[in-house]
Amino acid sequence: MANEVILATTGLYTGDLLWYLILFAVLLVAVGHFAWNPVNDMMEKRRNKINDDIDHAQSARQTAEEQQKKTAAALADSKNQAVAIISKAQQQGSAQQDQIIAQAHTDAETMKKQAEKDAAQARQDALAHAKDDIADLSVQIASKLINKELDASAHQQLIDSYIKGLDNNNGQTR
Amino acid sequence: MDDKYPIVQLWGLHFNLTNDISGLVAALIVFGLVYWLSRKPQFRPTKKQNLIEWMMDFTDGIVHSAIPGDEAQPFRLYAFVLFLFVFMSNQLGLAIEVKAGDLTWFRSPTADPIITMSLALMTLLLTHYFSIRKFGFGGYMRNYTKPFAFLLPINLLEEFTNFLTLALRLYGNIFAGEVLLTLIHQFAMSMGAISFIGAIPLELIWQGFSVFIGSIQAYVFVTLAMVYMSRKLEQE
Repeated sequence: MANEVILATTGLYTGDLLWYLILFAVLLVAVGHFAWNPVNDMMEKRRNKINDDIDHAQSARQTAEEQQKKTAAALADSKNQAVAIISKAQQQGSAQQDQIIAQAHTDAETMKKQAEKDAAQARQDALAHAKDDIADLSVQIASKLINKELDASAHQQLIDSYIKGLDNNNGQTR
Repeated sequence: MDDKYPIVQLWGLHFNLTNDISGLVAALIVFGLVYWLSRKPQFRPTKKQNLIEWMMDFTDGIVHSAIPGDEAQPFRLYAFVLFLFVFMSNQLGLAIEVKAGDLTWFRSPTADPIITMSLALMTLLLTHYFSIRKFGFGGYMRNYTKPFAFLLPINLLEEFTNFLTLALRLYGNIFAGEVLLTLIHQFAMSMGAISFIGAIPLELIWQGFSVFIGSIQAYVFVTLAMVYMSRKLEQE
């Protein structure tokens, strides 16, 4: 292969330039194919995975925060609702109480009036009854006294006026 | 130094076999390392995978600090391979230097300016390629007249200084390290047992320091490559 071997310390060995360019190009391709690309791909994969994980963690955190906010809002709402329900119940209770008391008052009033009315009626009845009895009794007594049959109907007016006077007297003395 | 190298002529081109063998070994070691580390990548990384991912993150960091955003994507692999290759080339010569007779057969390939210039040339050609791809040829040419038209000669000159500084900084550092290692070696052999024992700590210290320099220079080389790339990709 060698045409001639020169033993020298000088001389521009330009062939080395070519040799190194080829050597380096081959080394570049070989390293790239056998070492760089597989490892670089793996690093890329890992980088993507880490990125995905970070994104995922972020979105998960966001969801959790939203959920937490919702829960807190729901809790606050339920508290408000509870307060509203209690106050409503209290209002209703007091309204019912008032109503019951008012009802009782009116009932009592009605019953009192009824009783008064009944009493007045009873008195009236009793008076009427007594009036009739007194009239009969007076007629009997008078007839017995004068021994003469009195015509009850003929003297009815007299008797009535008498009783009225009695009644008035009664009213005045009371 | 007065080292001699096996040089063969083929198709009218001169090949320095020392550089070619060393470069091939460095490339094989780099490939073997990342191939071994990257077997069966898993979602939950193993220790091996952690190591290669850490290296990838490291060079990605270099790329992203120079080129922001998605534009950095095509250069991540390039920066990774470039860094590992330069790093391995820098370190190889510290551990191993093979001489047979007069000829040196193995050493750090980056201790040769031709090799560092090859790497720098490759990098800078890529920057021009990506600049043209982004702005079109017209836009690429117009970028030389920005921010001011009268800066055109300086901008043109800068292209060459970029190339030279990128290549020669790496070469100078690694070459100097190797020269000093060779000098310490010569000193060790010069006066028998006394100097041999005396040279051991010197050699140790300088080798450790060279490992540090080799790492720093690999980092600097890749960083500057990416900085030049970013400057070609932005409208000034």
